[in-house]
Amino acid sequence: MNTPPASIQKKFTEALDDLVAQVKEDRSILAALLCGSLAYDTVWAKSDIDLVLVTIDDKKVERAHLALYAGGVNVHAFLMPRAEFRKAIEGTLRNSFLHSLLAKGRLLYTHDESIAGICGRLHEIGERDTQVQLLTAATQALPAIYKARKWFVTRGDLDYTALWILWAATPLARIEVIGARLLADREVIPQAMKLNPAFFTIIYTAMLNTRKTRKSVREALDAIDDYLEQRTDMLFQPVLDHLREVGEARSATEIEAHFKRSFDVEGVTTACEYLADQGLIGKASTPVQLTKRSNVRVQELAFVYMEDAPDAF
Amino acid sequence: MPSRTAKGAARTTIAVQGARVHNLKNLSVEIPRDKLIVVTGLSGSGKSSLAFDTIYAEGQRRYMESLSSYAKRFVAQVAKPDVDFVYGLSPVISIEQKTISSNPRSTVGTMTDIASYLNLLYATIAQPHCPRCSELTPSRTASQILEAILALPEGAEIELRAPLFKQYGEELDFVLTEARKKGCRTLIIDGKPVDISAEVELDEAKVKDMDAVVDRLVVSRKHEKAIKAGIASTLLVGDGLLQVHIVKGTSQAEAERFYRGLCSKAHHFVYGDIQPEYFMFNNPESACRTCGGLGIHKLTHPELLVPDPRRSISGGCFVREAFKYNPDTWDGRVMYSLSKALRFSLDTPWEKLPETVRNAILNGIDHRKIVLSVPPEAKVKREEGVGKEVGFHGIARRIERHYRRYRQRGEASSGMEAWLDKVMVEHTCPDCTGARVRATRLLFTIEGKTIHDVGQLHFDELHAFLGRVKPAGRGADAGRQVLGEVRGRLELLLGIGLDYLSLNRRSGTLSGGESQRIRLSTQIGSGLMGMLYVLDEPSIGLHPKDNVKMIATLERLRDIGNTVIVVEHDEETIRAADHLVEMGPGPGVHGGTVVVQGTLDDLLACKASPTGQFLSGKRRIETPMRRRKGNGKALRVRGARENNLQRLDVSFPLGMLVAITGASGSGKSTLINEILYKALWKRLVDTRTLPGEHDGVDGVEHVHKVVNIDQSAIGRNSRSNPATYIGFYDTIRDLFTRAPLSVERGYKAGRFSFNVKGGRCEECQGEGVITTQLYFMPDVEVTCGACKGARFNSETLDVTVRGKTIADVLNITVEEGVSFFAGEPVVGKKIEVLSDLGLGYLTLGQSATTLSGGEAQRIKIATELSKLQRSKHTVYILDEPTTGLHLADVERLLESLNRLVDAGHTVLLIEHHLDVIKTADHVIDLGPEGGHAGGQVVATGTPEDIAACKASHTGRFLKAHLRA
Repeated sequence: MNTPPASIQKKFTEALDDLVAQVKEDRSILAALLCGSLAYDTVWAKSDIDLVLVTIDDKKVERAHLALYAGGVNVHAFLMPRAEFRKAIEGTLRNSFLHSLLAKGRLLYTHDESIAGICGRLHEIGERDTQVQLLTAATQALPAIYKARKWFVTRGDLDYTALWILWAATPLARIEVIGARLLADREVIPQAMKLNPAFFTIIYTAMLNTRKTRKSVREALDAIDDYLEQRTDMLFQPVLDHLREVGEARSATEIEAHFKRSFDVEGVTTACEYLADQGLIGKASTPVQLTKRSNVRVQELAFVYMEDAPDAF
Repeated sequence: MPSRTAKGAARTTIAVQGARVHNLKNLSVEIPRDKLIVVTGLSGSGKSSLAFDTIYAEGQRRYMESLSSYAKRFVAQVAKPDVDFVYGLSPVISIEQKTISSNPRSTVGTMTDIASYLNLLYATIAQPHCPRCSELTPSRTASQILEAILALPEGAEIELRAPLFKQYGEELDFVLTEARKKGCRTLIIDGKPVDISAEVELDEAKVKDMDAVVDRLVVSRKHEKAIKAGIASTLLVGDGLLQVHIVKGTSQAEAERFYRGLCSKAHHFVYGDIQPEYFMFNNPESACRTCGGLGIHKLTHPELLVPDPRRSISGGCFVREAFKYNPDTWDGRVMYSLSKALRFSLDTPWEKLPETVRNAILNGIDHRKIVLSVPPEAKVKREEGVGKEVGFHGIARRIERHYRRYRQRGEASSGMEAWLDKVMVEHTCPDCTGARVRATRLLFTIEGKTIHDVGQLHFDELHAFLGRVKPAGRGADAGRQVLGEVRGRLELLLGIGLDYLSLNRRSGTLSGGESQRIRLSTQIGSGLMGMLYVLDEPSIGLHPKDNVKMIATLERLRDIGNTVIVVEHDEETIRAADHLVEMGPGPGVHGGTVVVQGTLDDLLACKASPTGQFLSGKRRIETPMRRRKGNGKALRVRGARENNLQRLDVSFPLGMLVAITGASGSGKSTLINEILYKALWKRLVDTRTLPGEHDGVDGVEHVHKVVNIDQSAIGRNSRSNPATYIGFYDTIRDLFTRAPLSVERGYKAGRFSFNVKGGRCEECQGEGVITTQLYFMPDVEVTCGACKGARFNSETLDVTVRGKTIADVLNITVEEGVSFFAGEPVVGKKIEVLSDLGLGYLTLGQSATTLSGGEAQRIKIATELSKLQRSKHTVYILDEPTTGLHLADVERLLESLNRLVDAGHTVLLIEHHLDVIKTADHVIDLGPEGGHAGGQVVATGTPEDIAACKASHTGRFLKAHLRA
């Protein structure tokens, strides 16, 4: 069922038109936004229609998810008051899941002109958001990559190593797509495959479809290492900037707290560990109490930006 | 059976039948209602047991009984007092001294509720100002703003913008992320739109104004709800402020008319929906972001970080919590590298290091770098990083960074606070400068004063200031009503001598007496009648001149139709009573009955009444025939200026009984507790102590020890008792281990402890009672079935000494103990001292939690007396030691204090009690008034010298007393 019959597409479109015609009459619905497969992809018999309905701002109208049924098709309706819709669009980082969902969508109608304006800005991707999303994707990829390398080196278990590589494939694909300043889909690997087929064939297709050998798995791991190394500055710039700026050692807890607070990003310690392995920053330690009641202090992992410049005093 | 009133007539008495609480001996007593009743008697005679633990507890319990089971789950239940019945009870309120809040969020303003009224006043009539240029800015309701917008031409496009403020100590990234989370993607920074999803290149230091574009809307009645929601969102982001920016769709004239009608001229701001909570520092949305509404911020203090400057860095000069040199850690390598860079030795004593080096170690080397090297003594020679450059921000800065992070997390951990207190001291918050609220709240003024300014005024000044306020325009009627309410409450506080307090004063810094009087004023303010008030020594901490006002307040409470029961020793209050009840005749087991009750004349006529004897002058505390001359040496405090002290130079002669007197709030406690005691403690015990501001203390070399004997409990739980506190319990346990049976069974001292396993009863874990927690009923405490309350197991109780088990010994009174331990010099001497101080009625194992403040203080004095060292000069400091003491007890207290002085030591007393002041060898009178009008030395010399000083309020009252 690769290509659905034209009748399916027609059935979905008619069901949607029918439903939208009814919803337009509802004075509490300001706009309808078609998202999901029907908006930008191909539907099949088991698809449903994803519809975001922007409601009026009223105490009695709340955010809700409803499973509707129109013309024999399931419709997943997501009701959002206008203020919340605006906040979600303006406040969500570009390329986050919610943003991608809405950005790939299509405004079907609106009774409020300002909603068209809000939707119009969905496609503008800012550099700061890109940087944060790249860092997030990289911090998601790194733990799986470490695991893969560990299973390869310590056990030589090719299947399990390949599984971890496949876990890393999705965040790596996000890096590829976001790095190209494109909107990342929910199905991001096919998107990335188009952009960088050589790399994703090694780490994805080969790990899925061919018999895994030590050579092919090692090749995939090395390809990932090279891939990250070539993009280190692009992916980890905020971390390098922060540690350069503070100058002295910062504990893992402090670094995590800073990135959570300033960028809403978690798991940055893994990124620091990677940068230390690359020799771009140094490892240090700072004293810490294990519990609030501890009477001794042990050393916590810390990282520090170190320079070679000779003008020390 | 109490006398019955005629059918239909209201009961005129409160009748207690068969009260057996604590030492009450099946007591039955009848007290008139709607009168001022004073319950007096010796310390421990059963006054509080009758007034608080029987009458109040029963009244409270009956009220609780009336609640539904559901409601009972939310309130602590009161156990039924051991009394047959109490007739004639009405709703009862107790105003004790114990419950002083240590919560830093509690202030005089919140205690009195005046803070809430002020918040309301500011929300109603205050003039708001523009955050950018301070021009007057309108304040409207959200509906008014909505209507103004809807009056624009249909189809006009507007932007709702909210001002953003840079936050103290935060990077711009944080502000941007916060704005983003609130749904704002576009900011107007210094007039230019910036998309914050893109890379933002800004010079943080140069950024002046930031506005977030919260919403963009098309004006139309059909979008009314969207505009309304937009206004609400914008006010939330803008902290109560918003800007309406017309994008298109209006003419120039229409736009100008709109701005003129709704917003401020220069920056088009309008405040919206300002509610009283906007000014409330205990509201997280209004509290200063840096200090969380506490008004204080902690900073490290060099003297706390380096308690012993004679030590070197490698020798551990830093307090353990701050830094410990270890060549094998990263910090050790950095410190070693710093020493190489700055050319100093880690073995040089801290005090000998140059100032620049000490500053670099504590506060860092700014942007400069040091080259990393490995200390030669490091066990592990790690080479990574060697030769590279790193920064160093300093030990003090690191702790302050940890503190900021701790505050940001909004945690409250006592462990962390204790850690911080070891190395940091409180300073005024640098963000709000002590105002506790966000800066936008301080843009509202009444007669030019912000809500913080008003809270700083003393009550007399505040009362006068509010009298000058003339509300006008919007909210004038409501404002007048609120003003009347605030002034009325202030008048009550002024009426009881609290004119020197201010609303911003922290509750934790109030004395027990001050806090009691504040609560008393709120009760009077309620204007209720038919209530029963039970008060505990309201005269404490009051200068005689203020005591007169307090008595007048109690009479007023009675006159509006209430029954007022006061537990009191103060002569003036006793004389003012309508009805007196004297408990006694002795303390503890010797008390628990009514010695006499009736009018003052009945009391004076009763020969068995110690109070009557004192009041009639038949018995009195004698004025000493001669004053001691001291040992010729003195302690001299120079330039004392903490709180309201006005650069005082004060000499404290040594070898004397010295009384420090003065009106409430005159600075006595600051001078003695905050400066003299802490300065001595710092020099003699712990160098990390930080005394209040002063230039220095001379003569410390004449003093070997300083002891503060206060009224705090001698232990926190039931496992502490006089025997464990004074320390003779160890000797008693040794006595039991030497008993033949113990020797035979091989029992060691631990066997006779109820704190450790082995000898104690495991059923109750040595408590003697078992507490069962019930769901919506009070906890039930029953005597342990296994040990029958003995606290020890049967094997341990097999051992006896002179016929008594260890449990029996803990249950004997001090009086009995004197004869029982007559042959044991160590224990005997200590028990004798307790008996001499009038504590003969206490049992040796009496739980610390059942002791009054006065009893605890006398146990501490007994401890000191039992270890007197004549060769070492000790300064004893006591703050109002007569609290809770009857005149007969005061007599005994003075005897024991005189024994300390006669042994060559110095006793410093902060005191209002004229009988104590007149017996002092030397008096230092501060004043002349409290607060701003205090802080000076009014007179010094013998009590006679003070009495001769016309400027001294104390002198005036003392003169009459000495004459009597």
